[in-house]
Amino acid sequence: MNQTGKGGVSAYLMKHMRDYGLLFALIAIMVFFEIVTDGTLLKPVNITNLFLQNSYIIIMALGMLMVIVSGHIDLSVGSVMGFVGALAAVMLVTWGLPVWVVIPISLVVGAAIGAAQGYFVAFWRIPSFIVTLAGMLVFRGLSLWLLAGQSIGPFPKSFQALSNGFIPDLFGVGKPNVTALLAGVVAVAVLLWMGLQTRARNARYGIEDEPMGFFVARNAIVSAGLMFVIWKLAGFRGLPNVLISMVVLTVVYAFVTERTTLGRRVYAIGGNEKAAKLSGIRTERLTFYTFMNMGVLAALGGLVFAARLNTATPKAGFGVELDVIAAVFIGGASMSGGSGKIVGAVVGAFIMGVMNNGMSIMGIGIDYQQVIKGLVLLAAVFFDVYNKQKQG
Amino acid sequence: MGAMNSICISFTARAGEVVGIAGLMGAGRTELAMSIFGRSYGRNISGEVAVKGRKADTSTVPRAIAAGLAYVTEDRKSLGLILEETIQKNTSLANLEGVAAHGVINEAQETDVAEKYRQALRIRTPSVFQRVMNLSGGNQQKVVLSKWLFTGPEVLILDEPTRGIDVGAKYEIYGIINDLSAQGKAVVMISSELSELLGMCDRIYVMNEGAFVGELTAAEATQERIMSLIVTE
Repeated sequence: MNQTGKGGVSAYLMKHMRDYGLLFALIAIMVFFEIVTDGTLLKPVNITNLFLQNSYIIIMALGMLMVIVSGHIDLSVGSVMGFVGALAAVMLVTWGLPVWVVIPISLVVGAAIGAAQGYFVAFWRIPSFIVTLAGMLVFRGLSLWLLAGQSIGPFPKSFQALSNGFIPDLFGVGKPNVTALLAGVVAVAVLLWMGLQTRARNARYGIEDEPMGFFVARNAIVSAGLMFVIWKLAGFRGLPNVLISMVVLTVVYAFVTERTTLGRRVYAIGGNEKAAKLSGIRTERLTFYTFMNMGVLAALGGLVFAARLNTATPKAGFGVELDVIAAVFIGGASMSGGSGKIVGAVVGAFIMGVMNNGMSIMGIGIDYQQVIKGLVLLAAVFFDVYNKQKQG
Repeated sequence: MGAMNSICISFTARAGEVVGIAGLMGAGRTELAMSIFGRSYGRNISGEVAVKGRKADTSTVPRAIAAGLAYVTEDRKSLGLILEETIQKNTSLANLEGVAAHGVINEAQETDVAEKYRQALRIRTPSVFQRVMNLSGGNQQKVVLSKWLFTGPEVLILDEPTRGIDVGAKYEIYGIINDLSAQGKAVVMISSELSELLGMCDRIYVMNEGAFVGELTAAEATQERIMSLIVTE
């Protein structure tokens, strides 16, 4: 057991203010909106909606985190998302291609777009801000051209399932959805097991670890929150398909960024590109790949978004890049690169999502919503900078 | 070995030998070193590198590392280290495969490696999880050395290895260099401090305006002779 004194605990809290702060901010925001919306926020329907509404932001935030960690930015994701959605609509509706052909083609187009932008950023050293600003204009224009100003829809059922489908209850109970509950229990068990593993390792190497009380409290809150959400979902229609893809992608990207040599190298590029290069890291190639990866995820986001709305509109993806970038920065990534976490970006996206959703339920106008979201972003980044200065 | 502005340069460093490259600032020593190490400086570099008598491909940094070369940069803060990261992560940076299996990093192994070098090079820090930015210049330089020693090099090129380091750490670095040559590594030491070169090296090349202007053995080298080579050319 950890016998750290009071000073040790508060020093630990100071050091990890950001991680706890983010978690508590999300909880505080949810509790706040739950109260002011008279319990509408956490109704099963609305929780399901929250996931469906924000899925494409979260999917793109995963790629954006890697781009930002490597010291770059991608302003084109909203336009690319809209363009790929439009392209998929044309292929599905106008050309009548089957879904299993359209999805891979769309993802490949996304990869090609990301690769094209990455090529100029990585190998020609043109600032990513400029390259992707150009991309933003180009693909916004191309989606207008592709749709000729019209909306295209509706889509086949199998394509809509990408976003609006649910995992059926494998146990036949239906309500509550036993599959969902079981998945929740497994997720909590895995989280706890991983937390204990890390603790054991830290103890072995004498790393300063979080006090036992904190560990228990944090895990209790996270587990309870998770089970609460799952319980609500189980009471409605079960697990949305898109939630499963989101969770799988989040786990994969968290693993890649934190545990693999590939992830470590991306962080190294953002931390000090020249030092990384002189340490044998192929910085150009890796930067190229992060942009290509972003392109694929933007394409996936576009498919999910189009599937949810059941039409592709010329305005799809307008301004979405800003939400995605804001989510990553609220999640604690640094503008200069080299730091930031996948889990942070996902929580950041949820904070934005819950605020959007809560304010809409309250009937706050889009004008005030923008102002509030802007201020929250500024506050989050200020909190980061302030903390860093205090630590020296 | 390297060529700049169509000036050709050739030199050798034997196993277990410490070879110095003397010269004034701007003589082209760093440019030479970086040209050898993965053609990291300028364009249109041509030349050949042989390690242990066999021709080695050093056309990119990863290939140079694979060929057994290591280059400790002159500017450790902007070219050698990721200041925001921990000692552990900086130590493994140039040889991540050495602490990973199938691309997945084994963090326990990584910690062991960093800890091993912390003890071997006497890096003064509470733990290897300390960020490098919090260390003194001498300890930062030892972290850079750890990083390169972990790549298992045959030839180490040290560019101003004791610049901006306090006297105590300086002598520790000299000790490390002597240990390396005793282990049979070839060490190329670039320095502006003549006394340091005279004390450490078995042979000294004198460089001026991008070309070698002389080669002296330890027995014949003195500060006056080196300076006169540079001045008279």
